[in-house]
Amino acid sequence: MRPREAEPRLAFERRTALLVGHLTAREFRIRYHSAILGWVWAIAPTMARVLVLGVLFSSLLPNQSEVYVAELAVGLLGWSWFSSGVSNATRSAVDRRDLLAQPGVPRQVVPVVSVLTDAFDYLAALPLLLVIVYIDAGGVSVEALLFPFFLALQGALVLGVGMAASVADVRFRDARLAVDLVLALGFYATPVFYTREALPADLRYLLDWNPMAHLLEAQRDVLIYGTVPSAISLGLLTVVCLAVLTAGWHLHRRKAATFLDWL
Amino acid sequence: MEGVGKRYRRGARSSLRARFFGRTQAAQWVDVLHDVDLTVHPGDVVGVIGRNGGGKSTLLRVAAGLTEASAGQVRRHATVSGLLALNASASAELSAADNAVTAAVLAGLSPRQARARLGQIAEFAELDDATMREPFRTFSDGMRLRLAFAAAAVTEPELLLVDEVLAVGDFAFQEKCLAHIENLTRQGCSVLVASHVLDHLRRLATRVVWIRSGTIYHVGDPGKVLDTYERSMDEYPGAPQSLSGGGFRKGDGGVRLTQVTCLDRNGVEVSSVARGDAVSVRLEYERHNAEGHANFGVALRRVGSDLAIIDLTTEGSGAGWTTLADRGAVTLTLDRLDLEPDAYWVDTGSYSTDWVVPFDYHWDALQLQVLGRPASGPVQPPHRWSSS
Repeated sequence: MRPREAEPRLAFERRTALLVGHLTAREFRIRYHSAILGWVWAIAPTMARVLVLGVLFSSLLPNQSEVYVAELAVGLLGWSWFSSGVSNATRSAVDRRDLLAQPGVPRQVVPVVSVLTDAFDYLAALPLLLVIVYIDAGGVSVEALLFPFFLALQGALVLGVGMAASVADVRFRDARLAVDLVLALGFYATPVFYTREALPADLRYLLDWNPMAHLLEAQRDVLIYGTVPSAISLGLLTVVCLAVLTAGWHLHRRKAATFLDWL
Repeated sequence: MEGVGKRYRRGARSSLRARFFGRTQAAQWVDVLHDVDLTVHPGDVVGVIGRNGGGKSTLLRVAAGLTEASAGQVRRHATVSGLLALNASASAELSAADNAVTAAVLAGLSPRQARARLGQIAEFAELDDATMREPFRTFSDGMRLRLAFAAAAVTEPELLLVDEVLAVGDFAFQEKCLAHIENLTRQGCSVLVASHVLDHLRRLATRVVWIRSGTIYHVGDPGKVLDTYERSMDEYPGAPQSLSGGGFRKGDGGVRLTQVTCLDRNGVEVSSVARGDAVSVRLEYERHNAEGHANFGVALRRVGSDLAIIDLTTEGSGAGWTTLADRGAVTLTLDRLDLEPDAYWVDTGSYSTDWVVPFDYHWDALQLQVLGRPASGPVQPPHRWSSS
């Protein structure tokens, strides 16, 4: 072997960031590498669902709002990220135990990479989403600049829930099944293909306790209706999402030291 | 490491179903490691030896920080790189080059550094560019291991942990890996290596640690410790001694077999038994050491053959260790002896609970004749033919 040139060791934070970037890009490549159409497959399922549900509900429930397709697209895209993100993060520790056996890899990298990979699926579909909103709502207002902020909040929520659930999955492999069941029900319990206004008034309070309901509504507010949620609900949403992330992160950090004993 | 211990829970329930509906057996704690003190200095190559299940891999995992010690303290002042799990995160569809870069990134390089060293990796693994562009699934196991070692080799760890992977590839490649590790240590890298290939350790190690039932049994000069270890497997109990009644014995005599007899179903001593009849082998022992438990074993082999047709131990049969008294007897009962009629040697032994020390082992000492119609084939289970 040739003599090596001395290279400075990378700082821990920078190395971790590079590692996360590399692994995320790689996961994305693995997912769509062998398919001829590549990343088209990343957006095809969601777009197909928007199309089907859009046609279905527009004809079944004729008194929908005028921007129903745009509402549906925001809701479906946001929910798919939440649902696949939480589901994949839950199984990340067990399925990626090979990464946990690498001394140089901080444990948190595993769920973070999983959530980021699903975030890329979302981002891949984002241009199409904007086109749909532009056509259906007749334009995008300046409030849409707040949209990335809500995406970041959603990322925090997904990561927090996913990390906590992955701790459970390591102890009890039932956790992934339970999480998938809750997510399947959550699709109906969250205003994904309907809006709060479509619900009977005495059921609306159910949505108050669902952070994903608030997130999707806020995303629709800024992107479609051109309004900004009130400062109180904005603040509350931020606090809840960050609290979930902090709780999940700490639980994960406390338990991750002995993950390998259970795998 | 100071006083490091690691406990695992055995028999813990791993699913909700087991928790709700499982038998209510309490989980046991098993000390896989206890009271291990070990310091690895820069430039040290510490070899770790011991039987399978003795705690070697756990020691390496704890040293790497992959799992938390249950007791004691682990202090690391070095970046750790491990050859513990080869081909982590390898994707069968992506190219070998792609996988090699990921392996190097996982081992501590930045993606840019890793890509820059791809040539070195391929060179070390002796794979040409065209091969490196092939999807990983087309690689043989040997090629995969070579690539994995090469990817880890181009990183410059301060502490390298190697678990049983030196026996990778052909001899030429093994030689290359050994030379590479020697080269690393000259640059101040310390190495903790677990291996069963004692010749590798003889060459590499500056110190050898012998882990036995979870704790350090011997530590020191590689030559000495490795010799003792090797003898414990084979010659440690000493040269065979002749028994007065014929046959031979070996062992340190800690739990001595005083009399071995074959008994029929009525408990009468016999030297022959009809095929398919019950037979018991009774081992009477006398304890000369302070051990509280021991394993016992009985093997049957044909006269003139080394192959044991029956090889049963107290542990292997699930009975666990035998609790010892100063004098006592252990009996193995075979409900049916369905062996081909012939003459058999009944070999018997007593061993330490971890099987490292044979206390007393007798062979060619007791013969048992199986009677019956001549047949072919070593095992003659009860059977009948029918036609329709």
